[in-house]
Amino acid sequence: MTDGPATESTLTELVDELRAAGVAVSVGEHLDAARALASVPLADREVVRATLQCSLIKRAEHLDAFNLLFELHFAGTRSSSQAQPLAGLADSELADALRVAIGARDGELLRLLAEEYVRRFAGLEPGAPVAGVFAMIAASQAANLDAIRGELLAAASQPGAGESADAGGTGSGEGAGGAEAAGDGAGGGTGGGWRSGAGVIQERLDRADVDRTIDAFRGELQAAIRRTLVADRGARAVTKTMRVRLAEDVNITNASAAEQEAMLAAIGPLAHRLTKILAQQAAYRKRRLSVRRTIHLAMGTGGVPFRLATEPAPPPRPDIVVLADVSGSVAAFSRFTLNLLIALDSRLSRLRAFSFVDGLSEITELVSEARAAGRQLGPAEAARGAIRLNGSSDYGYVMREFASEYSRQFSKRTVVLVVGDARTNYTDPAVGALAEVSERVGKLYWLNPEPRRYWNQGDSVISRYAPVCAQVRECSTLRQIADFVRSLAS
Amino acid sequence: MADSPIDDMRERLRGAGYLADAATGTVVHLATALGKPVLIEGPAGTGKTQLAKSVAIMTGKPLIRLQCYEGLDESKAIYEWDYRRQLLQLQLLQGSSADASLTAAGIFGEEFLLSRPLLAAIRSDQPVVLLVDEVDRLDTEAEALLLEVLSEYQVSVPELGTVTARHVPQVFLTSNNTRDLSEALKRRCLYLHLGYPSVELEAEIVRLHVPELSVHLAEEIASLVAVLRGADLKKPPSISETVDWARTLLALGAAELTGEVTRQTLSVLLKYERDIGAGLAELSLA
Repeated sequence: MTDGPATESTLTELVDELRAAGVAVSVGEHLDAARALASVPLADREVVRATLQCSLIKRAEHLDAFNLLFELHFAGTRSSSQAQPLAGLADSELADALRVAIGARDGELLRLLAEEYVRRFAGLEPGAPVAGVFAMIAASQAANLDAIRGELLAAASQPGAGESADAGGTGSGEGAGGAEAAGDGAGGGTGGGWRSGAGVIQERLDRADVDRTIDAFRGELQAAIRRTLVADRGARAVTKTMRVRLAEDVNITNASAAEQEAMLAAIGPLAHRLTKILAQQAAYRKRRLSVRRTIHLAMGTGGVPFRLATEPAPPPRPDIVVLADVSGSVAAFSRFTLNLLIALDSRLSRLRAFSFVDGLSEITELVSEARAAGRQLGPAEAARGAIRLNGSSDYGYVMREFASEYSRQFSKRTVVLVVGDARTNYTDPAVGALAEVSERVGKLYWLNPEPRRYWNQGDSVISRYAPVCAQVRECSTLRQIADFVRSLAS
Repeated sequence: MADSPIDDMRERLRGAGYLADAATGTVVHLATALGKPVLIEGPAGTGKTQLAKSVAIMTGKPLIRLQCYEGLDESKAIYEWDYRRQLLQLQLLQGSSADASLTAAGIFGEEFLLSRPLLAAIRSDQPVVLLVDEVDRLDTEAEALLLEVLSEYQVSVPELGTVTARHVPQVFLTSNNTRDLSEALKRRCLYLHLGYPSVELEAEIVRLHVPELSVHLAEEIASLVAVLRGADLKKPPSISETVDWARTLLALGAAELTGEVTRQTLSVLLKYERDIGAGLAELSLA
């Protein structure tokens, strides 16, 4: 990959794949990347990666997808067909070498071992349609990482074993510490705590250290599998089977833990935009006279203030009311909703939040308390007051309750967001009650976390609520929510 | 590899007190080579602002800093007429028999112009480093102003005409990603995502700032901070807090991390009562 044209065509391929995955790479950025490549040494893979990343990727959420695609397309010069320095070892010797390498955190050896483990155990036959996931399972089972982890941790907690050896440089400090500990021990009960405290910390650090190394080895295994696959079938084919997804396109309801983390990171900007736009929907407040600007304007007329200038209007404060379904059928989604509520709470002084299942409960206090403490709010906690009978959704009861108890407190400055799948368990949906709320408030939006194709099937009655809402939107992915927010602005 | 421009850049940054990994070194090198602004994103306390400061030290260029906040407008970011002096001048002129055209020319001269950071960076006689800090706190309108300045490196002052930069400033923008920046602004920049450093790098950073510390203790400190960052904290410890903690431990004469000394000094790393509790639990000290 040192020759120019080859790199350029690989770059074009990478850009194509990024666009296919949903990352909007502009022509200008593509050109920037090509120009940037010309001014860095191409021999260093990490440098090439950083070069392409800084010119092609402009959002943190896209970094993972980029790194994966980069791995596939710029697989590097190492491949499994090269010399295999560890091929001569027996399986048991290989296991010993792995234990030593993890214990010593020897990165180079770990990389070689990963290659070898993948070659021997991953079961990747040239041409055979084996998915990378199975190869990964096979290779890490063969490596038996959990056993190695246990062994290393047990060895580390043995008193005196490795510690004294590598602490040799700080001999005098050690001595002083030891003397102090002895003194404490004589003094009474605290001495034992002191020593065991030191042990606890060391143990925790050792554990973190081993875990990090093992994670790094897992990463090497994965990389080795990808390299093998790419060498066999080419980057394009492997990319297809990998299904690179961006966080914003993942269905929130069935996202993996890692994907949920990525989504949480995106909530902040989303909440910011949402509050800005909701604020514009409420009425503007009075503007104040700006003395500075007025005098500035007066300069043009010889100091005589013919025109008055005002300060920019202060952002209006809307009343936002969120009514969130936290029942079991949308549990994964409501975790996301609650986090969004917490993010909104930090920006909106007048946010009211309600959770419901078959009962209705106001959780405004709970949300602000969670925000102040900087913690997350689980669906179970939010649902605590919202279950009246058996915990299966009863939209009819909730809507009637919401209309009769709270709608009097709303005004035209109020914007109501209902988040729910409108699955009523075949009970009366009480559309009239929601209509009553809708008439009273400025705007009422319904966000449905279910994909549109499931709407109105089974006990879903979303189409009956639709006429009384300003808008009903599907919002099963972050992108759809962002689209909804954008549509409010226009 | 000693002749690689990236390694050279990292070495120079190190001389300015900043330990950069390969990616950071590459981006700074490219920013210089291509003359593009750098947008730095990442959690608080990962050295975003410090990078710009270190580049200024490294290149010997003066640093001009624009701290962004909600409500920042052009009179605070670009320029403003000094209207008090203009008023005084008007009163002086009223005494004399100057005609109107002379009056207008008289009060819109360079001496009445107050340069704010963006104009100052453009008008500077020598090359400068421009740091636009926390750009995500700007309003959309102010961001558009900023984009205009960054795309052309010129400012038009209606009364004076267009001021074009004599030297293109080296621009760094930092963002905590509290809101999405406009695509146009992002397209114009190189993007650098600064996360927390690896344990090895952080140990080196600690050693760079507290050279009296033993290698062993620096590694332990970095490792423990990494463990803490993995816990569910309201505010994970920043790099500068790690360095502060290392200084504290040095002052206390600790040769090794013990439960006792960690418990006593954890408040240097963690600033919330709840975080201290969570941190102690994570370290099994609670």
